[in-house]
This record gives sequence, C-alpha cells and structure tokens, in this order.
Amino acid sequence: MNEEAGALEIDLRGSVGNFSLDVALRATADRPTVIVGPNGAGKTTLLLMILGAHRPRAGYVRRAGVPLYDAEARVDVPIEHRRVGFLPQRYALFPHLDVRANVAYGIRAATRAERSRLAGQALEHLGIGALAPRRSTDLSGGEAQRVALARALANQPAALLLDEPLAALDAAVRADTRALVAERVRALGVPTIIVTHARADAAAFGGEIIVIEGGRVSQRGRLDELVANPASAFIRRFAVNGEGPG
Amino acid sequence: MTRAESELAGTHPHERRGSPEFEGSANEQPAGDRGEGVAIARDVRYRLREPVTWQTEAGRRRIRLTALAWSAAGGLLAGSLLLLIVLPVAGLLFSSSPRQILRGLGDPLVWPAIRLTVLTSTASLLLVVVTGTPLAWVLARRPRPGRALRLAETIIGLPVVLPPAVAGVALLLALGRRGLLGPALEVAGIGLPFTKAAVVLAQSFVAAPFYVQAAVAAFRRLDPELVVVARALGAGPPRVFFTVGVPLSWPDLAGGAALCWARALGEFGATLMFAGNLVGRTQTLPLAIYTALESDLQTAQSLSVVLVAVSVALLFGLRGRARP
Repeated sequence: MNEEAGALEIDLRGSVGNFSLDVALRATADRPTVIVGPNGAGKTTLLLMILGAHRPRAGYVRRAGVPLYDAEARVDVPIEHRRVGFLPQRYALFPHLDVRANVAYGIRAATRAERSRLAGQALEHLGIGALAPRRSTDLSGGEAQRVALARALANQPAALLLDEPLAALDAAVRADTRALVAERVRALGVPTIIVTHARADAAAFGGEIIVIEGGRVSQRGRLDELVANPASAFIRRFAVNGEGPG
Repeated sequence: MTRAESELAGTHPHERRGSPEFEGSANEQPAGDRGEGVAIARDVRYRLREPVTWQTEAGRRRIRLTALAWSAAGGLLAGSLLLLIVLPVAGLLFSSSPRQILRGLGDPLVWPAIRLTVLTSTASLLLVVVTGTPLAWVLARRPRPGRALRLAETIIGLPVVLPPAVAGVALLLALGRRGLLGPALEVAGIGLPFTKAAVVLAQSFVAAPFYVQAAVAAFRRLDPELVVVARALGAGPPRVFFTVGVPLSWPDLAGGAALCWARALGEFGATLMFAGNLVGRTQTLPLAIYTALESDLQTAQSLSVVLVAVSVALLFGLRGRARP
C-alpha cells in the first residue's frame, strides 16, 4: 500500500440544522467505510466537512497522519488541495461541458490533448467510452452516475467520498452499478466513505458500518454484528429489513 | 381552518366517524377528525351564504357578467398603460417621412455624437463588467454575508434610486476641480470634468447596478454543488470562477450587460452636470438631442429614432436570450 493510501482519521464536531454533529471515525484503504442513518442525521454534512466545503467547529481530519483540518492547530487546507474525491448524490456533472470535458476537468496533465486522452481512458475503464462526445445533460441516470464516478476517479484522489451513489438509480440498473462501484473503489485502493440508506449497498461494499443518528454514532460494526445486536429502532429496521430500496 | 370551523369540527366528529362516505379517505388521512371538520365546515359555509351557481339561469348570467366586467376593466387599465408607451414612440417614428428623418441625420451635430456615444458607452460597459463581475461573484458566493458585503450590496443599488442630476452634482463635488479629490487630482495632472473620461464615469455610475445586480442574481442561481465538485477536482477559486461560474451564468450576464449598455447609451443628467455638453468631446446622443431640440426639431427626432432603434434591438436581443 503506497503512502497516498494512508488512512483517513476523522474526529469532528459542528452544527447541522438544529442539532450538533459529533462523529469520530477511521477509514482505511482496505475496505470502504459505510455510513448509514435516517434522513437529516448529518451524513451529508459530515462528508462536506471532510471535504472542506463545510467548516466544523472543532476536531480534525487527517489523511495518512497529515492534518487536512485541525481546529486547534488552525489548519484548514482548501478543498482543491485536499485531494479528496467527492461524488454527490445528484452527480453534479457540469452541464455546459460534454462528457469527455467533464472527466478531463480534474485531470492533472500538461496538455489539453493529454487530458482529453486520459479522460477517454477513464471512461473506457468504466465501459462507457462511447459516451465521450455526448452532452452531459442528456444522459440516463445510470450513465450520468458512471460519468461522475469516472470524473472522480480520473482525478486520482487520495480519498473518496460517495454520497448515496445509487439512490437516484432505477432498480434495474442499481445492482449492476453497485457491483461496478464496489469493484472500482476496491481497485482504486484509497480510503473510501460511502453514505447509503440501502442495506444491500452496505452488504456489497462490506467494511465497517457506522450508524449516525441525530449527529452522533449510535452503533458501529459489521453488518452481521448490527443484525445480531441492533442498538436502536432505526438499526433494527435497517439491519433486519433493509430500509429503503435495495 | 378558522376558529369557528375548528370548533365545529370538535363538536361533531363522533356522529360522522365510520360513516361510509369517510371510509374511503381514512387511509390517506389518519387524523380523520380534521378531514371531517373540513367537510362539515364546507356544508356550513354553503348554508351561510347563498352561492352564485352555474345551475340557475340568473346565476349563469351573473357569473358571465362579472367575468366580462373584470376583463373589460383590466383590459382598459392595461391598455392605457401600453398606449402611454406606444403613442410617443409611434409619434417619433411616423410624424416624419423616412426621407425627412434621414435628412435630419445630416446635421453636423449628429455624427460626432453617435461616434462619441458608441465609444463612451462601450468603455463604460467594459469598465462595469471588468470591475462588477468579481464584485457580483463575491456578493453571491458568500452564504452568510458579513456587514461589509451587505453594505456593498446596498451601495451598488444606490445609483438606481439616485436621480441622475444628483449623481452628476455628486461626481462634480467628488472629482471636480474644487471637489473632495480635486486638489489631489490636480497635483497628479488629471482634470476630469468636461472630458470623455468624465462621460464614461457618469455613465458607469448610473449604469453599473443594472449589470451588477443581474450578475449577482445569476451567480446566486448557480448550483453550489457544482462549485464544490469543481474544487474537489482540484480547481482553485479563480478557475472555478472562469470555468464554471461565468460559462454557466453567461446568458444572464449578457442580459445584464445589455441593460447596462442601454442605460449608458441613454445617460443624460449626470453627463450634463459632470461632463458638460461640448460637441465632439462630451456631447453624447441624448445631449445632442437636447441641443438640437432648441434649433431643429427634425434633427432631434432623427437622433431619437437612432436611439430607439438601438434600444429596441437590445430589448429583442435580451428577450431572445431570456431563459425558458
């Protein structure tokens, strides 16, 4: 494992709406860390704090031991220097750029031609090379999702945050996409945090599941541990029945 | 629900609960009392006031008459406002033949004024766009603007409510020979009043808000997630501004720029006060119209037609660019 793949250590306190967020976790490169929780529990806010788009009140974010944010040491690395990839729930493809330009946006290469070539390659990796010249506004949900994933991966991030990566997809494409995301994330080999509300996602991505309720961690462990010993009504519903589609 | 209605709802629900007509909606409305209350309240309202109904001949006539009266009154009011605008423009365009209008353009006042107006209004537009776009970006991108930013937003709106003549006097008192900065400018060898630069400053002063406010609105409409994603992909704030902010707001920025340019083209009061009315140096089209009016109405009309043509072209350009 190279130095870039160093673990993401997080201990953050801040405010989300009416309640406070207080979450500590450690995401390693070997398996994705899955975050689940009811709506409004602070999952997306937590991702935005790790990303640097939302400022926590206290705590720290470290990658491979190096602080990206540290309230006490007054460290707050700007988003663009954190090298943390982000796949938002609704993908946020740049509507004025075609698919290839979307993927090329985050590629660090000397020339435009080189960036374009690498973007094409990144699309090929996800089996969507044919989409390259398409407008990013007329893609299907599954296509847009793959393009957004290709864009995030092509940037070669040192950590990856996925916010409900499958929630906006039809049931028909969800299973395929889930397998693809899990496979690519494993291949990338960097600490990855996935927010989801579907039990099937949590099962497919493996790793540790961290349950956040009301801004706090209510339980953490593997899925079978959650099933065996649910600590709250939400976890019982999630672990036993699998809340949400999936 | 009014208080009377909710009191009604409170007294009656037991009689209604379980009656067949409410069973169908029981699933959608777990708070069955509320649904029944509304139903009862509706009944009561019918009893209190005889409704105008489509069922009777008299009712139909009354409904038709009311509708007719309302549309007639609305049409009359709206029509008179439109007429107020259309009539003068029609007078401008049709009270002389095209030949006469062309002849009016032969006056020696005309071409220097047109040249100067194109030059100064374009310079004003550039000045406003170059300084106003970053300002608008900063004003729009801060989720919780501090006192300074709120003050800046108020300041940028000031010229809209300030009469142009007041703006001219203000500019003179600030930048004129005896103004606030007059001595400093004199030392630097800069004399602003009664120069082309003064025209540009006067136009920028009055026209800036039209562009900046449009740009702020455009940047506020920008999806913040796109900005976050762009930055997560490694783009610093300047790159986000140029590759995401400006291209996505382009139609609205162009619309604001067109409005701003139109306002600069027509600027009269502030220019007259601060820059004067010197042929070829500070006499823009509106000032030339004013001057011509004293000697030759035909020239004034011809110049006005030129301004109307440009303004109408801008207006249609704007509507063509408007968002669907």
